Amino acid sequence: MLGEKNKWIAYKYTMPTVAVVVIVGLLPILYSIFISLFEFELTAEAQPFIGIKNYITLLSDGRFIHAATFTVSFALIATTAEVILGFTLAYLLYSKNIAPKFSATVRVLMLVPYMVAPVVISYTFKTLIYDVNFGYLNAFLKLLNLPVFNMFEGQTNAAIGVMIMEIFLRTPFTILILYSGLSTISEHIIEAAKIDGAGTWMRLRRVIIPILKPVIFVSFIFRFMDALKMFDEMFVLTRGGPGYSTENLSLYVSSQGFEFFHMGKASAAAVIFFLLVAIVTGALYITFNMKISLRRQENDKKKSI
Amino acid sequence: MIRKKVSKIVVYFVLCTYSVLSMLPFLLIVFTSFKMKKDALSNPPTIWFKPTLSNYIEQVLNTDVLKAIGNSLIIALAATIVAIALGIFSAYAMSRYNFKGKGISQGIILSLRLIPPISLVIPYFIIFSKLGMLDNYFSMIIMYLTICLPLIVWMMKSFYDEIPIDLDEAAKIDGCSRFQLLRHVLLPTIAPGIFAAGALTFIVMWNDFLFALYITGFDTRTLPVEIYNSIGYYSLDWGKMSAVAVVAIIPAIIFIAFAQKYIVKGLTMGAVKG
Repeated sequence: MLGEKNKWIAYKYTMPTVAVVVIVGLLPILYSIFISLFEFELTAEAQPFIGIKNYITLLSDGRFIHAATFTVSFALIATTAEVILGFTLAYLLYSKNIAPKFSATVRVLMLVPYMVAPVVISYTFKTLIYDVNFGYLNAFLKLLNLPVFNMFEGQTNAAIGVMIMEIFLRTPFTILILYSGLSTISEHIIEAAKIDGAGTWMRLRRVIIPILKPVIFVSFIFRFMDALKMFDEMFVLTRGGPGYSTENLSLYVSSQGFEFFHMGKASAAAVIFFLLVAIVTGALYITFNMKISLRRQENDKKKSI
Repeated sequence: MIRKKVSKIVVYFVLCTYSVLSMLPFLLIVFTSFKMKKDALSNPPTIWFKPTLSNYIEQVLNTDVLKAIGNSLIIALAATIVAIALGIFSAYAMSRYNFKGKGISQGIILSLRLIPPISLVIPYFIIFSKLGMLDNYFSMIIMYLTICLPLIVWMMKSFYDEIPIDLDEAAKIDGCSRFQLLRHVLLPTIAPGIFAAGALTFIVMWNDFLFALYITGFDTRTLPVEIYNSIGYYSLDWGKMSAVAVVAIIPAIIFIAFAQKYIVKGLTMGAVKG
């Protein structure tokens, strides 16, 4: 770090960015808290102040509660699946018995779904893949004499259809992160475990996974945060339907705001949504950090003894 | 020995299947974009058909789509450039100095990642409609700064962190001012990184749908929104739809080809070393 006397320059360099972030990011959130205290109808002339009534209405609105639980459970299931699948594939890519060039090629090809616009992929899935009559998936299933999968029929099918696509789209992220985590593990540790007689499974369970825990956690938390905020895929594939069975919080807020023009209620829901993401992610982060520092303390104690 | 060989074959098989599956939807899009309407909508889907370029000529070279491509380029490039200009300095300060309030500043920048995009759309929609700024490049650029600032600042900080501080000190002893140090020593060193960070944020904005859906209008509509709207009109012409989709995919493919090694760093904002 550089000398004390130059600290003012650090402020001079940092403050413009912080100011822009506060203006473009945090002020709108504060404004939305303000709006949420009004009965703000986009179509009405007057916007009366109603205090926290919007929040009370929301918490007694079955559709909102459903959206909130659906958001969290969908994100939890999808993220868990992505981390498990991602770890398996990353481990295969890292394993010593495949050619490095092959591994590198796979890692490039798999990026395509991750980097392409979700709207484009969602349309592709909705039409070319999932369509009952003209889609390739069902043509393939018919070829094998298997029952047709119609994601546009029934709530579970709709949720499963989106879930499969979401996992397909986002697993490359977990693979990429877990792979780079794996490749930083020192060869010596693995060799030492081998010499001590640990088989592949033992090495994985007792050496690799414990070392990789922080990276697994990072991949989980980043994916979980984004899965909570998901919009495009759900909007294109199901638009919350059938009924509102696959409506997550993003879709709920947007339909309250832009279909019914209840901007006050939509703002209240948007504020709760933001708090939900912040609290859930924050809680995960803190518990994990505490675990790590506790373990570190224990290890230090052991060393000193 | 046999066991080892079998496991090797299984690993190759699983990874090959996975790669093919990842590419399949895109191959299908490309494939369908050369199909006439009657071939695109056949039951079961045909594999043999007479390829045509008419979808590209009629649909992609249509003024609405070209305009949407232009809008997407303008908005995404402008937001990326503003974010890089801010990031060059703030990332440098955060990498090189310990100052009071550094933690808070970093927290404020990172907190943008926690805000669900829809929670920004609602207040922004009201603000912009009051100011008469809906359907305006400037308002889109402001909104996109919330996405690209944390990405850019964090990636650039990790690039600065990788340069040993000895280099700064050597340059100072040689008589560099701080600005010269940045301009002639540090920036050239991290230039490829800045380029990759810019490309990654460009793609993220090029792909964005939610902000563009509610804040743009007829004049500033971006490509994802144009795709969404045109599917309404051409819902039964998958060939046309696929041709536009191919255009929307191209930047991502170019990016993957040139800058893939920076992706890990960008996506985890430096939490994991790439």
